[in-house]
Amino acid sequence: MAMIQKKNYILRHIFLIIIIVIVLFPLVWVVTTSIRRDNAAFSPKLFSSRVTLNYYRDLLFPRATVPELIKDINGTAHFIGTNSELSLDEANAKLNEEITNFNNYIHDTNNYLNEIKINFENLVSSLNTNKDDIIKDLNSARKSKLEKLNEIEKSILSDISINKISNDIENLKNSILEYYELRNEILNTLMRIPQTSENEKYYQNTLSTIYSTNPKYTLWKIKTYKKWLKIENNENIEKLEPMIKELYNKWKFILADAKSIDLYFENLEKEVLGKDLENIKVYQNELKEKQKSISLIKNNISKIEPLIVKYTNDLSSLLEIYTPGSLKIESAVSLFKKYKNEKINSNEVLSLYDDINRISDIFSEINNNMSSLADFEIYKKNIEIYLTSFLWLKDNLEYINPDVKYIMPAYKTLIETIKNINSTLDSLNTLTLNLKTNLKKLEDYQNELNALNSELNTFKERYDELYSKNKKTLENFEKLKKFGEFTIIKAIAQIPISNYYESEYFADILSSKLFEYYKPSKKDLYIFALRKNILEANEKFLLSKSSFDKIISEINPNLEKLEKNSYDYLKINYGGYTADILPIMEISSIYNSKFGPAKANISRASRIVSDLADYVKYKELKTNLKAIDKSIYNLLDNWNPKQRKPFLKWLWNSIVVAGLTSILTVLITSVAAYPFSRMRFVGRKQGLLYLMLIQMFPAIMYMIALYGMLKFMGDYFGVLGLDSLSGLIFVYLGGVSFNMWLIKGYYDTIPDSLEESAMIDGATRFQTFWLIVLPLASPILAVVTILSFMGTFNEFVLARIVLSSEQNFTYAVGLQTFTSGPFETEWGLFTAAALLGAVPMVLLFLSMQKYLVGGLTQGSVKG
Amino acid sequence: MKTLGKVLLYSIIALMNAGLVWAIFILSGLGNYGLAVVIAAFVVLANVAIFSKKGYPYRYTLPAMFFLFILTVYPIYYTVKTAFTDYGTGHLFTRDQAIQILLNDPNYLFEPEDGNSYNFKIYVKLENFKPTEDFLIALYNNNEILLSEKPREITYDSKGNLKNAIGELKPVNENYMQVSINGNNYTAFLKRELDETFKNLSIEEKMNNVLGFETTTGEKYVYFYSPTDPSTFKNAAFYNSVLRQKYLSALDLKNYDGKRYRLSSRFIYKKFAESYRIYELRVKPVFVNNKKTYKTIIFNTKTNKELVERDGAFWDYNEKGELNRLIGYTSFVGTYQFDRIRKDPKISGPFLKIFTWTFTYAALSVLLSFVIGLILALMLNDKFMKGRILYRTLLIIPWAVPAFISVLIWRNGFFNETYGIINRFIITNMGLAPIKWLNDPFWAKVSVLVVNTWLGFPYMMTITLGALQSIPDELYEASSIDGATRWTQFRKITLPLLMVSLTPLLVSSFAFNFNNFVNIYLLTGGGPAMPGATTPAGSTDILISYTYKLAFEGSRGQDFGFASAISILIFAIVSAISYFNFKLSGAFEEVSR
Repeated sequence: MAMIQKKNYILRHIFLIIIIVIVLFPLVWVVTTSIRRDNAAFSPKLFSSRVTLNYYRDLLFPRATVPELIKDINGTAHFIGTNSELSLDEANAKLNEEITNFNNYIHDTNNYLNEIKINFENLVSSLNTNKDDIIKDLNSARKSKLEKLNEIEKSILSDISINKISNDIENLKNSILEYYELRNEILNTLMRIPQTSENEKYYQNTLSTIYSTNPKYTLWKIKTYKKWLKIENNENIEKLEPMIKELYNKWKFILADAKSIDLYFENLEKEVLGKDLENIKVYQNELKEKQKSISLIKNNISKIEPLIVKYTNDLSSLLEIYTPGSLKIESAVSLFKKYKNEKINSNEVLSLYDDINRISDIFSEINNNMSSLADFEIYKKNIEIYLTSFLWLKDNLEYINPDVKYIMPAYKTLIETIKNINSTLDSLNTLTLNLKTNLKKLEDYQNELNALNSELNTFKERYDELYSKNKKTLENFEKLKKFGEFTIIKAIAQIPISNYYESEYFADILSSKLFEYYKPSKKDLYIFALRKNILEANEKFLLSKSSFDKIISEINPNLEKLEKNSYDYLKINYGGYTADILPIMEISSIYNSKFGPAKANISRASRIVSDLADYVKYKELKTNLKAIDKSIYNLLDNWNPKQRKPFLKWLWNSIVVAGLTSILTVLITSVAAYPFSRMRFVGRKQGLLYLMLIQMFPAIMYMIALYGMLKFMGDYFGVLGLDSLSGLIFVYLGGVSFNMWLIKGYYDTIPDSLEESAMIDGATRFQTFWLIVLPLASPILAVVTILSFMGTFNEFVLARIVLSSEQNFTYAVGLQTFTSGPFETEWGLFTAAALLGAVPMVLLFLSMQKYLVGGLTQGSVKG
Repeated sequence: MKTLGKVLLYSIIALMNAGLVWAIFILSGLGNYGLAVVIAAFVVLANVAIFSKKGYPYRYTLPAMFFLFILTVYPIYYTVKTAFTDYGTGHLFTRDQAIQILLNDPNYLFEPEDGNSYNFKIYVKLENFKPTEDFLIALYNNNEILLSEKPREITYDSKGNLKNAIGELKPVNENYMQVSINGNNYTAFLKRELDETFKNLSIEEKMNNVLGFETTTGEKYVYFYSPTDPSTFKNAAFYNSVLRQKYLSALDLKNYDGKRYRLSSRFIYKKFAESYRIYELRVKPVFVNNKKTYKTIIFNTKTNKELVERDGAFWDYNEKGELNRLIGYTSFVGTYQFDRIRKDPKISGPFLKIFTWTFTYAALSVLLSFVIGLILALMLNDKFMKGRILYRTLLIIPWAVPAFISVLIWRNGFFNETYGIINRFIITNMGLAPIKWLNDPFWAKVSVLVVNTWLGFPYMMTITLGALQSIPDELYEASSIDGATRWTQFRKITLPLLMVSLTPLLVSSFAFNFNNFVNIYLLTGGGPAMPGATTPAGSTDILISYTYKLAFEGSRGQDFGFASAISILIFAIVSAISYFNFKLSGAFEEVSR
């Protein structure tokens, strides 16, 4: 029995620990993110070992980095913004302080640059001193890759014999060995050529040519060899040329051999799969063809669609105009009909015949066109009315007598209508025609598309069926058809690495397109190309350093000038006159134009270095890499633009608001709770009930009213308005009811006898309350104060509604600004800010736990 | 001593009464009768409490009562009142305010085409060679020169912005370049002699010779700025940021002939031109029940037409005779806002969805967090297990972290679709496509519930632990003797007993989540938006966040009236829940003890 119990506990512990890990993971993430140096929002790593406390420093002791410092200096020198209230001497002191800060930044930058330079030098030299160890490790890494390749080989050759091509494979391996030998010979020859600063470029070119995965002889000869011949006179150079040519040819042969192996498997595939393979190919081609036609038709449809939309819109707005007219002409015609007596043959009317004839023709066309347009049902009737009216008119014109009084308005309407529609009738006709034809076209296309799609589907089904039947074999053959290339890679993996170039070559081969079914991890590639990466980082850094040196050397004289003349400059700008100060403008333009490129280079170096620092395991290299990484980070941190947020002000606002609110509410509540505990009076029951009920409604429910009230107060009294802390505190005082029950409950536990005896001694009721009950209740009052403080500190909604300017934000409202806009990805800053607010609250909460939980069962609600 | 205290006490009471009565008068003067009535009720109650023997207990509650009246009773009244108006964008002002704007706003000015216009120059008094705000302004054209002192009559609105400034122009004697304004004699000091030849110069040339003006007491105003004189543009900063903003922008200059001049937008604010108010207040006699009464109307002096009042707004005819909406004001609209919820399909559809989701959300939040809390509590409720205090403390932390911080962390770090670590590290590693946590209606609901469960389960765990401890052990012992399994024990003893004490708390929690604004607002903002809704309704919006968006964040403007109507609905629902809960928890009995 005891055993089982124990076992249960272990399961329980495990379960609880798992739950706790999951539950607390967000908080762990916050803590680690707030101290990681890289940009967590973009990093592929969940956690990082590169730590910094800079985010906390930026929040608690905000400082102007270089670009902001330039802005500040400009502001001070021109008395802009709040600086306009400074006196001359104050401004001078401020300006000088800012210049000193700038000088410090420059000083720091120089230090960092030198540190990094020294570290890079160490790094490069330790590459040579530790060469043997590193090569040894690289070889063991190579071996593990080889094992991986063997596994792959085993899996793809599982039920296929390669006896028939084993000779070919052997030959290929030997060719590669020969290739390596030849390359070593070339390297030795190259080494014998003294490396000078002049030929360095050609030296490097040759090196990279012979170690590229696909040596390009012709290109090398044109670009490098000929120029080399011009500056050097060395027999070894001449020896190089035929050797490299041979190397190039050898590689071609190797590739050809590999192809022949591939071919073997291609044939084998045909043999194994037979008719199925042919069919699959046929289907694939069919599918491709069909898809092509489908996309063609889709393209056509996409051209027609906007046209149709446009025509539809135009037509409906045009038809709208015709609607009222149709009623008029209908009534006009009905009038004519009523008074159709004898033929008048009025010339005036008959002269309209041509128009009416034309119009009726067009209307019959329109009517015809529109019969196929479903969207215009409501207008069709109108058009029909026009048509029948004009058709009638055409036949009965001779009966119309325009001079009869009753007919006169109808006749006028007719004239008016003809005049009105004449201008738009043709476009109405073309529109309907266009719409009709385009709709027809669309329909045709859609039919065609449907037909094609169903054909495509049948092919696809057949293809899928066939493919899934042979899926495994097919997939395996996909790989086997690259077996030649795979053999090359494997053969290379078998050759021990003897220098850094070979290691880099190995990395290149692995990541080349020769055999795409095995891709090593980024880490492996980094390690095999260790030297190359370090050199690249160093090169980028040196480029960046020279940019920084240039920036500093250009800024320095300007800064000196500014410092020397600061007082004069300030005097010129004092009192509303403004003159541009050249040194500041220069500094600003130097920063704007030159920091970008410098940053790009050093950032690239930083990325390489930080990745290497994670992957490399040699202590010496690692310390150097980490030191470089850290210095670059600090350097860029000083130079990058950084928006400053009044975070401390927000915290302070929160503390002031929460402090005052909690003290005031507790004071008021503690007094008000007293009669509820000690006296019986009319309304006590209702009051208590109201207090309990009111707690169910969060203050946010009154948001509109509170907003309206504060707006009113601010507009007419100028106090307690919107966007003021006092207004916010006032609104929070609505919470006086919230802890009434808690305090009343505590008063209930204090015995009455104490007060009674005091009253016998002559104390008034208020005195007994103030001098006896209140001191005795001080523990609960303290607790309620703290709880109320926490509640107010954590309140978000009302603060969000009341406060609108950044300077007045409380912590809760301010924190939200970290999660939107340009700050969305500044996770370091955001998490640090979140922790700074959360940690004190969590500690307070945990220490108050007992009372919080106790309060739960006594009527106060917290969820 | 005792009398002194009494005097002091009475004077405090008198002061308070006087202050509050004054406030009542001011408030009713401003038309805010609601607040006035609430304060008046408080004054009556307070005085009864103070002066009646029976009212003694109430004296203690007076301060609390004051705030409860103003911050809970009045808001309820206000919300109800607003629900029956169209208060919101387009109807923000009271009618009086709207009239004031029509009469005073610089937008409603017109400049007659054939009116006079003047160039102007500013002369400023210097102090320590710095310009001060004491200035003169000279207006001149080909015929005359006019001079005005700095305006004396200046009105500001409540925020301290310039509303109106009135100055008086006096013609300058061109031959002697002298003028007398309000008893001050100003004489120009010139670049050249004031001789006979000067008199023959054109006004423009004369003005160009003026270096400044001097009073008889020796105060000097030097030529400082003119928008038509490039040599003074170095002073433009002070002119624009101080003089123009504080005085000239609303300066109304009265000439001796009664014409009014203002800085003219027609001349890009480089000249003063004749300008008049478009709208005037007039009275119109109307007959109501055969009795003649007067009605105030707004009159357009340009078109000589009376403004039309319709749909809670003033409308004016333009040149083509079409009616244009000028400015709206709040008006009573009856049950219009409630009708919208029922009848307008573009509102009622989304509203119904929000309504159901609010209940679903609250219920699921309670359910999920309660189930998890219950399981954890059952595990921790074992006195013999080691480390249970530590576990409990660790598990309570999500409750301890302020909710708005946690929600922001979840939103920004976890659910963000591009950067969030759930998509980047979990979903993609499982080989799935990234999930639109905040922009897909279903997943947004899931994420809201996940976060709310995470926030809520520690509370459930804590209250369940408390309730579990109050279940006597004897019940379990007795039942195990009867052969009950642990599952039967849980079903027949633990759960029923737990529910007795926990149900009121669960209902409270439901009510809390019903209005859990912070979670929704900070996580999804209520989004993603529902298609086809005419109000800012979102898929994860609950009633309260919908209200908030209607009132404060709608892209189509603020709609306080409609928001208030929904608030009233929430009031009703929460009241019903509370009543039910009080019945359950026996709060009514507790009160009457």
